[in-house]
Amino acid sequence: MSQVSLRNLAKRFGSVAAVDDVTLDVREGELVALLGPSGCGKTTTLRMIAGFIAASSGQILIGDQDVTNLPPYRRNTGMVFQGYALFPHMTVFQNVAFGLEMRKVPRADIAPRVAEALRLVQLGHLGERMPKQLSGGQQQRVALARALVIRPEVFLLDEPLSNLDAKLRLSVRIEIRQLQQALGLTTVFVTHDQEEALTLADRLVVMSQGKVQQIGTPTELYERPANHFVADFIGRSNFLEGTVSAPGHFRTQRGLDVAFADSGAGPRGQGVLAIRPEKATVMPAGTGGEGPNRFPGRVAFVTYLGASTEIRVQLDSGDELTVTRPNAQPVGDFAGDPGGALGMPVVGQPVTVAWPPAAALLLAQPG
Amino acid sequence: MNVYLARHWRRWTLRAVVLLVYLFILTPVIFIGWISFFSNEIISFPPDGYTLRWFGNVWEQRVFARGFAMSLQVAFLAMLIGVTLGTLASIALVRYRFPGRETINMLLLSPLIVPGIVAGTALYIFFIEIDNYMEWRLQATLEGLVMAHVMLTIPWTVRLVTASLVGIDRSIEDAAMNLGANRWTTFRRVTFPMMRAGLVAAALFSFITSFENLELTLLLVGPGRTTLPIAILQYLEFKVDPTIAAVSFIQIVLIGALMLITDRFVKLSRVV
Ligand SMILES: Nc1ncnc2c1ncn2[C@@H]1O[C@H](COP(=O)(O)OP(=O)(O)O)[C@@H](O)[C@H]1O
Ligand SMILES: [Mg+2]
Repeated sequence: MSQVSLRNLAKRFGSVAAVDDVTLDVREGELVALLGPSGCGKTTTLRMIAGFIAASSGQILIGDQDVTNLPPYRRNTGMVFQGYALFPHMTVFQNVAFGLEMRKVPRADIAPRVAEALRLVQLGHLGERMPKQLSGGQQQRVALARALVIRPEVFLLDEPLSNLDAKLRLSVRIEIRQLQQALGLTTVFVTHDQEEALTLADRLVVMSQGKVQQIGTPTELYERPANHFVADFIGRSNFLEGTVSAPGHFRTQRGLDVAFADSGAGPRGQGVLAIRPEKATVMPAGTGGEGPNRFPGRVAFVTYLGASTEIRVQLDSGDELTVTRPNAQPVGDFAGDPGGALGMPVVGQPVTVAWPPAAALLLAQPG
Repeated sequence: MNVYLARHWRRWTLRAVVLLVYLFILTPVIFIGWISFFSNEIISFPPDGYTLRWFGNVWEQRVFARGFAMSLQVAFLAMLIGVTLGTLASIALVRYRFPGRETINMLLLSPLIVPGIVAGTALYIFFIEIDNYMEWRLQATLEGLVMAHVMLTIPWTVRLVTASLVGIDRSIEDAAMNLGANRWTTFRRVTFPMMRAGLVAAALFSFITSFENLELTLLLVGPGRTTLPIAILQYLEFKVDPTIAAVSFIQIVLIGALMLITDRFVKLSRVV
């Protein structure tokens, strides 16, 4: 059963469609991340679920209840805000107790429940502090405890990690995920950081300009992006523009004939092929035997990245392609083994670039 | 020149300037305090000796005590009404967008710009006209005076409360509603406490502004219904002795004490 359902949800600010026809089902206990560049409508979507913004059209369901027209205080959602939004004039304890007071929880039950929530975020000892006496990471945890203590039907987080420094971000991210799974919380998490989304979420919703581009698991989005935007936004891709010349064959504008695994689902005629940099290989010219998609070129640029090496190749056709190669073996330097199988490629060196047809994905032309 | 020496000089120049400015501001206050203890009736330097009798005289001249009581009443009422109205106006100005918003904002702040004597004259004429048409006497009454002073105090409230409202992160109120508080509870439990410092400062400055106002009040008082600053002025018209210094000194001490007490609860330097 789905816990949160958005049905054709839209929000217009004047002539701007901030959220445009979003339909989404979040299953019980699932963590769904809304991912997209700044301004794509993630916050607006989340705030509509919480009830701070009225939908222009569409429906919001929480559990079985249509909450589209309910004020925020009648919806049982627990939200963590980007800037934490703690009550500055209340102690940590009072902050966490606030939601219970509003729910008329008997006084005797409040203290143990607050204590339990604070223990859950490892702040059991700080109940008497004021928010401004806490570090950013601790304030973040108070915000989590405050949202969780009311046992919300939906847990909402708007870029909760963006104000933390890089190291803390990583550990709080893991904690949020553990809490979410331990408590089985149905969660909608907003972020513009794809790594954050990929590591946290059961499923991702990629948005652009108010519209859902694709909904899927991290693997689905990475391996089978639905369009140019997703292929570009999640990870990196090489894009070759051209036309489908025959089933399974694609002709780039510069005349390269590329074989791809044709499911028949992609567009006919004009299109774009996307090739992930790590799914192609670079070999010294004249090695590697026969096969489809083998194209001659020259090394244009090499970047050694430690765990991998990034090689930009200028194909003889004029197309450019970036290939990343894992440094699985010890890498020789230029002087030791120039151009050798295990060595670093050298700029200007003639090479062959190859990729299996299954690695080339046919996408619709952008725009 | 040596860098350290230059820095040294800069620091000492700054200190000297700060000291001079403080002296400039405080000298009149210090002199008033000093003069109020002079024993000779005609103020002259150096004094022949010191006495407390001028403070006794302040008490004996009933005009001062009556003026003080009147000022206290007016200032208190003007503060209560002015802060209430000004706060409501600030909430509207900060939280809502409506046509004429800028104009209303300017209008509410304008009493700070219009010279008191001009506003006082305008109000005097206005009160007379109201009396003519509606038989409602406002000139030289407590109500009239309070109304005039409410106008005087509103700009302070609007400025201070607006500043504190603008500083409130709206998502804190959202958080309260998210946790189940309706609009009124959110205001009472979250917004209001966060505005408290601004409100206290607004109340204090409204009170002081009303209490010490002279120009605006001048035409709006009548015999037997006089505020303290006007009682002082009237006394000065026929007599100059240290009684004036003594009554001024009392006023300064009272207002100073009020500010210090307020500052213990709300750090004024943070709000003003
Ligand atoms: N209150 C508002 N009034 C007008 N436009 C708004 C308002 N809130 C958001 N927008 C616009 O809606 C779009 C989506 O905003 P938002 O949901 O905040 O994006 P995100 O959170 O993905 O960065 C943006 O173009 C933004 O400028
Ligand atoms: Mg946002």
